[in-house]
Amino acid sequence: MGDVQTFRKELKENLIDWLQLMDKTADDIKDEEPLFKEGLGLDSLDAVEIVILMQRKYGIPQSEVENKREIFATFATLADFIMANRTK
Amino acid sequence: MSRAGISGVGVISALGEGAEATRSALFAPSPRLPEPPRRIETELPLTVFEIPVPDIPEIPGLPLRFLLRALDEALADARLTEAELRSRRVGIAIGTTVACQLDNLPSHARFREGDFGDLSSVIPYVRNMPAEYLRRRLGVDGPALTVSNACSSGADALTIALGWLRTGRCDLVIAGGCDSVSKVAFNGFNALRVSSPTPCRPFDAERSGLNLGDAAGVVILEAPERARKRGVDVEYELGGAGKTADGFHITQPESSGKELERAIRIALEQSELPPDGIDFVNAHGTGTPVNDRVESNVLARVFGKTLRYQSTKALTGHTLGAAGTIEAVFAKLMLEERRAAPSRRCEHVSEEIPVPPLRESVDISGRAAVSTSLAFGGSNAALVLRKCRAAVPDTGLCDVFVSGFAPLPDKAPERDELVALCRKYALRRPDRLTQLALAAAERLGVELGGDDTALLTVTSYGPASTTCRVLDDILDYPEEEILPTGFSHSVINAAASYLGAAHRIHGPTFAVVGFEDPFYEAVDLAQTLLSARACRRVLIVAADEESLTSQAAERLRRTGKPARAEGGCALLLCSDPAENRRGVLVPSGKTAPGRRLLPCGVPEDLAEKLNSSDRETRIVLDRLEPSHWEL
Repeated sequence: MGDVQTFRKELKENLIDWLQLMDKTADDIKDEEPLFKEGLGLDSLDAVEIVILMQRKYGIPQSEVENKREIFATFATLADFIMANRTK
Repeated sequence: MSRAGISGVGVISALGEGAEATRSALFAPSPRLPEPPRRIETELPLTVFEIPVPDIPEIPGLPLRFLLRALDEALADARLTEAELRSRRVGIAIGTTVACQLDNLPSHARFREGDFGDLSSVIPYVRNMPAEYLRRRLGVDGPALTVSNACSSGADALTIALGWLRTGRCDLVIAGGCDSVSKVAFNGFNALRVSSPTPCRPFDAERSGLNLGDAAGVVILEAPERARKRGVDVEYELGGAGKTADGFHITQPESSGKELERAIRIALEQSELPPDGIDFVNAHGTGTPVNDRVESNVLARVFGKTLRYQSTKALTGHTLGAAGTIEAVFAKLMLEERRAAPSRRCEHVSEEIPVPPLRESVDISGRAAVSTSLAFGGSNAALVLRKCRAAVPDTGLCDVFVSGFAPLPDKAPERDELVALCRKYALRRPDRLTQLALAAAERLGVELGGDDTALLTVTSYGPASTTCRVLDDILDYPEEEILPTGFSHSVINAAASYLGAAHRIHGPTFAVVGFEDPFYEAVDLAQTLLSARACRRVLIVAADEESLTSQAAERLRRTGKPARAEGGCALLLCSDPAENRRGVLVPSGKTAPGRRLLPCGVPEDLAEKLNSSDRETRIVLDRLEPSHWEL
């Protein structure tokens, strides 16, 4: 599954692709930046999409993620959760 | 003679078939509950309000079958024969969402493999666009416009009808809405997390979303004195219709609801009634947390302590493009009964709801009622039904001046241009059709926003490549892994929502969809809106995009094949001669033989003329011959 930095770069590129963050590059997404509102500016529908794409791409069931807001606090918390729980 | 008297109604929904069955079901003690869908395959634990499908085998689409049942009833109610109709200047305005989206999964599975051998699913889609279909079926030749503004479409059709009658553009209008529970909408609303697994409970503290439902409604509108000559008693008229746009977000309502409030106040003013002259409001009340909160707060602001309101969605489900029409019919039936029906399944009123909805039916004067509809993209509609007033003269039709024209780019903007547009207007994730529309509007090079700017988008295929992605999702993934933004960006009015949000356009906004000549219909409607002073200027953006759907359908086109697959134009029209830049545009009403077209039916010679026209130029726009499809 590669090391932390490699995975984080892959996930940043995936987020840009999934959510069509056209004006962002992987370097624009800071590890400790909040994902929503004043941070990366994502909204509640983006959150739903990330949850679905975590299931599609990394095999993490949506039920394991629902109602766990802390996972989505920052990019780093999301990346760490996926690394620890991915099944593919 | 321009009052919009209601001379006939027809309705079919989970409340029953026909106005009489509906009337008693509205007040019945124990309402029907939604059930698991029978017509669509699903593993999801959701329930819907399906109704038996009328046996009209020659019509493949369910929304149109429902519509024909409602139409037959409405024409009979108004004692109109087809011969009588052909002697009148008849307009047809129909709202729908499902009937104008090609969502056939088996054929999509073939198209995406490059197999276009079987086009049988495409033919009804091209042929049965509801308003165009009814015009052919009834043999009338006035405007025929299908509007697809998501969940307000059925109210928007009535709003358009009122404009045609006020201005004298028509002397009779068949207005309606139709939709059916479809696989795409069923999975789409679930993906958006707004569908409830339990029977919906509008305005309740425990409400958790909507249930979908089948329905259609038709309303016949004409001057009351014309109907009375046929012996038809006309007690109520469509007294006012307010149409505004939030210009805020593609799915979320703007939280203050100020544009919904403005729509209601416009409708009241047109009706010459104060808020306390309204007996009750039939609210949109879908049962989603956000809708019910925003809407009930607006209603409380406008109507204060005198507010009495109900949602009927607990009885019918959310019937999407039909909802606005059938709920106007429900309001009329309640006015006639002199009783307002209760809002069902609201047991514990949410604290966010400032005034509770009606919990029991109440006696009313039968003077007037309001019906509200809200939709994706912040599309707000408010209708007032009231006792008929004395006749007034028509406004007549005004001159239409062209103050701006820009052809759509040959292809979607390059990445840098798109990023710049998104940054400039704080937009995210515009679909391909929206990208084309935004780029064209940008080329007009003028400020477009305001309360008095109307927006008409025109399309045949809508955001078709996005719809194809939704179908891919349904074919390739389990139902719980379908992405919500695919659905929300695949609705026909997505481009209108984005354009409105980008430019802060708050005036009447309609997504016009069709195959015969939707561009002509939009120019014709623009003249009506300007003449009725519903706005000061109208932005028309006609756009179509290349997709598997358009590739399949264009194989059926006989003449006037578009020179390009993608394109269209942006056109800014106004009624003030001071803003005339490129001449007068005259919709002639006459048909002209096939000619070269840009996508969306924009005549190529019109584009050429407008490129070199000046203030003195007079450009006549004819309607295309409707025979340009091989069907």
